[in-house]
Amino acid sequence: MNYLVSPNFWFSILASTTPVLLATLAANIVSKAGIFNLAIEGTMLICALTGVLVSAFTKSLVLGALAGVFIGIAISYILGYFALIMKGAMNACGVAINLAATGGTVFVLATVTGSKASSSSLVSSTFPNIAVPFIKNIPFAGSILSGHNIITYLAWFFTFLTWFLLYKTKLGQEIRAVGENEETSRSAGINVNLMKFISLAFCGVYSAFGGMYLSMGSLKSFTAGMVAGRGYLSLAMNSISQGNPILGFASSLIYGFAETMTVYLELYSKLNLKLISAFPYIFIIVVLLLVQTIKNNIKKNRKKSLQN
Amino acid sequence: MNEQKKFDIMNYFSAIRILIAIVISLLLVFVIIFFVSDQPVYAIFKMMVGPLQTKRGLFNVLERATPLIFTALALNVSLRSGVFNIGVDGSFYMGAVIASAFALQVNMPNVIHQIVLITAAGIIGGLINTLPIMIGKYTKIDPTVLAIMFNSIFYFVGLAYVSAFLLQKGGSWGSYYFPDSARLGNLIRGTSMHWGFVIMLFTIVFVIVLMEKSSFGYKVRLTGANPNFAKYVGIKTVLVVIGAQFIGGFIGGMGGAIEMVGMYKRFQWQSQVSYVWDGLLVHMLANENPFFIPITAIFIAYLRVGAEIMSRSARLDPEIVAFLQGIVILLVASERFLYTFKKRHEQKLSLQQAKKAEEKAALEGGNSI
Amino acid sequence: MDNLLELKNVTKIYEGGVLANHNISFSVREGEIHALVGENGAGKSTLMKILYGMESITSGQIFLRGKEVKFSSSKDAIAHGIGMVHQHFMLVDSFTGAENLMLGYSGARFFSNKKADIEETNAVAKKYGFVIDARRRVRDMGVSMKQKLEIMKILYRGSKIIILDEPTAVLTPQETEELFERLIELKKSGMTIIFISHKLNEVKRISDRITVLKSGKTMGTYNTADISEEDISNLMVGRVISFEYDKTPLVSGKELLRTEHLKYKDMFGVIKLNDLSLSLHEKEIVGIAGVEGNGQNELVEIITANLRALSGKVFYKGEDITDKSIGDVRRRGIASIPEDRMFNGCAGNMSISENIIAADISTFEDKNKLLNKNRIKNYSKELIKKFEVKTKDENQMIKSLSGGNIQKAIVAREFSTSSDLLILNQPTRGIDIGSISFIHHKILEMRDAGKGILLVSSDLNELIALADRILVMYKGRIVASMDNKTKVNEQELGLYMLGIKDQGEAV
Repeated sequence: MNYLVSPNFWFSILASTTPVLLATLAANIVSKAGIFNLAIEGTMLICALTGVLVSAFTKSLVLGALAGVFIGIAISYILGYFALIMKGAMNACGVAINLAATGGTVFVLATVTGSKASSSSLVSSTFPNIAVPFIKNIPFAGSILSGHNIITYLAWFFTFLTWFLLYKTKLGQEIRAVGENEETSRSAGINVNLMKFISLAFCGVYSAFGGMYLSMGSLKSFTAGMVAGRGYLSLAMNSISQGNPILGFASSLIYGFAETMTVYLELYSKLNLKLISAFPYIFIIVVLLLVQTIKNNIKKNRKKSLQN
Repeated sequence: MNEQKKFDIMNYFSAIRILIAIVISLLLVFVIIFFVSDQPVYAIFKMMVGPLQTKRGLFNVLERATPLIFTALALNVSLRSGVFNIGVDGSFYMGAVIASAFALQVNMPNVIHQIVLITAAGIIGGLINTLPIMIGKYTKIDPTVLAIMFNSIFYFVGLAYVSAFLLQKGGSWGSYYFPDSARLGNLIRGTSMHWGFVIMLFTIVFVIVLMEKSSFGYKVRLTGANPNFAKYVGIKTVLVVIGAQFIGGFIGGMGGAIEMVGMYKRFQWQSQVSYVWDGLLVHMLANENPFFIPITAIFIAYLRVGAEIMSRSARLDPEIVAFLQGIVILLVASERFLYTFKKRHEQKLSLQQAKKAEEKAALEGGNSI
Repeated sequence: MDNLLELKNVTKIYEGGVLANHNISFSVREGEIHALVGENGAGKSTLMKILYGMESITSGQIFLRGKEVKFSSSKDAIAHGIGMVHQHFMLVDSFTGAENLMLGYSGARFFSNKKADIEETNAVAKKYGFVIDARRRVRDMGVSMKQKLEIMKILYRGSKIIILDEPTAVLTPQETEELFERLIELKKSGMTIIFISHKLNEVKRISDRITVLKSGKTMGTYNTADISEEDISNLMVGRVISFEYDKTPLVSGKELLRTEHLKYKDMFGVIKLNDLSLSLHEKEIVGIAGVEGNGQNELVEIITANLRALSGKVFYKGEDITDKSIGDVRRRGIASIPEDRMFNGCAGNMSISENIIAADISTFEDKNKLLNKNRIKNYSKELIKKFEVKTKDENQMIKSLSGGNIQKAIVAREFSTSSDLLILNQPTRGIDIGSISFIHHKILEMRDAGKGILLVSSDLNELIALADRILVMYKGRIVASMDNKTKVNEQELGLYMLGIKDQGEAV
């Protein structure tokens, strides 16, 4: 268990937190607007592929990233159109997009590269890693906080941005009002669907970067199904954080920790490898149960004090 | 009273709606084929007619439909209680694992062996499917999310069990070969039609009777339609929902076991097979009516087999069916799809009623003078 | 005076084909208080939501200062100077008073400034003479403060037309008086006010003109000074509002229901039941009167086991049923009709027959736990006929029926079980007069058949027409128990309901 004190371990936690953090932020902002977006998973997957393909064919990282972001917003708007305008069941619409994404990315990958598994035959761009001046020189902390992929720093910025937007601006206030009480917001003259679509746009951007981090950051190519449930987990993280991006960051760290532990356990323990792969999920369910038990206790005490 | 029933197109509204959704998504898939294939007409022909061209193709469709029917029936019971729980996927996978374990690790005579392994798979499958609901009730987290998490957990757990206890050393990855006493024998020589097919027919009848005829099914549907009302008339809705999850999971687990010992000689599922998504599509296309599940399952299986035939002869990836799935679900799930048509009809009807009431009132007023 | 606002042939059909407004035309003059009266379900609220842009119209036109306007959202209405205070307040519970005031306001700063918002709110409150706490969250505010906040929201946005939907329903007499004074002041300052109510004395007192709505249509507009309360009520219901029934004299039998010292507090700590005890006998209708929210719902829910009391006991036929489940209570013989028929009175997407059998499923089971289709079909057909439910057949989806017919189907279900005690919570709310009188006759039939009936209603005429005894609830207590052999005086009931009179511990 020596690895617990090595900076590498903590660096990996932050690195593996990144995609889930972005997905959690995506879930945060739409849940504040009253949307349950199961399609974050699929959106990430599609954007991961889009970024790789476009950057490979244009030889431009910027164009690849822009295309990914554009598609991310587009997919979120497809969900918005069917769930909000066409009044579809939100869960079913999310499932539909994920299905189309899972199979569709394989289809596109196979059609373009001839391989169903990965895009490694293409030369695609990657986002650079950044050594942060000054911070990198701090012993221990420097080697944890510096040298991450640019998307990781972007994700930290997005965390602050989302928090600021939601709690410090008129737009955020209106988004939260829509999520809490649609009828009231409508009566106050707020365009409810506009607020929802604005939050879906943010959701699309965050999901896109989450997806592209996987295929153009931590890995250099797209592999089929590479999002591997992070989009779904983000919805659980969102429940823990109750839509608050700062808490969302904290709960994403739980995932980052679980995933990094998994990697280290696979390296250093003698447990069955497949069983270890289940660790993040089990860990998160245990955390969920703990959090709820604590909440229940607080509620019970509050109720008691009110009723007596 | 006038008992004669007039033909009213609105009675068939939901069926027509589903058919139009299928046609639209098929057309979209054709458009995609036209864009990416250099022989689009041939590809479409192979996809649509391919399975009919050989006897093998036809039986392939039936084989493919079997797991879809099991998952769709399972979803029919569990989803109609009003929760979007797709834990059946875990039930199905673990059902196959449990069946393999019982096949390889327990010695029993033929017939009894199959009965025991299918029952065990069913019980475990049932328990697995209740987990997302029970934990969801406690933590207030959407059961869909929990179900997806549990599906991953059980996939890894199942895989770990097979790797640890059932794995045959050397050669390709897989368990030892199942003994004959555990396998479901062939029904028709020269095909892979097995006795599981008969069990499936019984399961179809069982689900139809359970959901449409029994008082338990009625309680499930009532709870799904309006849980507050169900509670108000004294139904223990929590028990009903969990009961429905268990039965759904049981059918799913059974389906996994039957698929494993019916179609395969050894356990080789190294990926998450995920029949649940196709099953969901089948369930939705059947308009949530178990009676139509076999037909819609055969339809989806037909498309799958057709797409594979197409991929072999026209070199297009069979995953193209995913687009069709996505679009069909989006359209069928959308309340507003073809809604204007229905709205106009409803408005006309209610204005007619108002006019009738007015005329009647005028008539009565006239009489009283 | 010019017409400020004019509606021409406005028709609204809701999803599912419910006709809420049918060819409505009426106009409002500048600077008047215009009352819109009508029974529950007459289409008042729908009409106002249309004016406020929250509902679209199916057909018809709206003119503002002679120009046709089309509102696609409240934003348009607000921009045209129309504001509305809804019956159920439109405030975000987790937001503070200041945040609610600023919510959706076009002039609000993009970057929030809590301090400035609070100062602004206090300034607005001062300007119009309201006392509110800008820092307090809405969920911690009292009803009256919430209403003031709502009115402030409208004034702050510079509206010239204010729509108030049943503003007095939730207020105490003093608060009502204060509101009226404020409204008259606003009128003097040039505001136009549309005031919705079904309390005729209030309407008479405060309005200049009155428009009467009845089942989605206008029955004309009148100068308040020229029309009597009797005339208004005639227009509202099409005949004299009070119901008259031939009732057999009371011969009450054994005690059926007894509650002892029931206590309940809601999740905000508000006392809803305060040491409430009552008893009810066979062949007796006990009416519960009271302003809504004084614990009537909690009482009903505790008796039917939908809610657990903090303390106290419920006895049915001498047996303690306090801790029994809903199903147990029903099986012992307590049937009930809930307040909100679409929330928990029926399953909208299921057929009439599937709804009709819900109260006692076990009687339709074979020994194999399968449902007997023929028995269900015959039973539903019989009930549909007996309770005059207008429908194509028993397989029609229940939500496609009119409100009155849905309610008749629910009454049919609950009155046809073998229960001896019927708990009715607002059994005729929001339905047409024909269905109301039909249901009233059925209630009296049940009484003659020997059943005990607890009738909670906000319609005093209904209580006076049907009940043998009327209990008045105020703040979770029974403040009066009145024998209704010779008709109870409505005014006197009102005094108890408002807490002005109290029979005290004698009850």
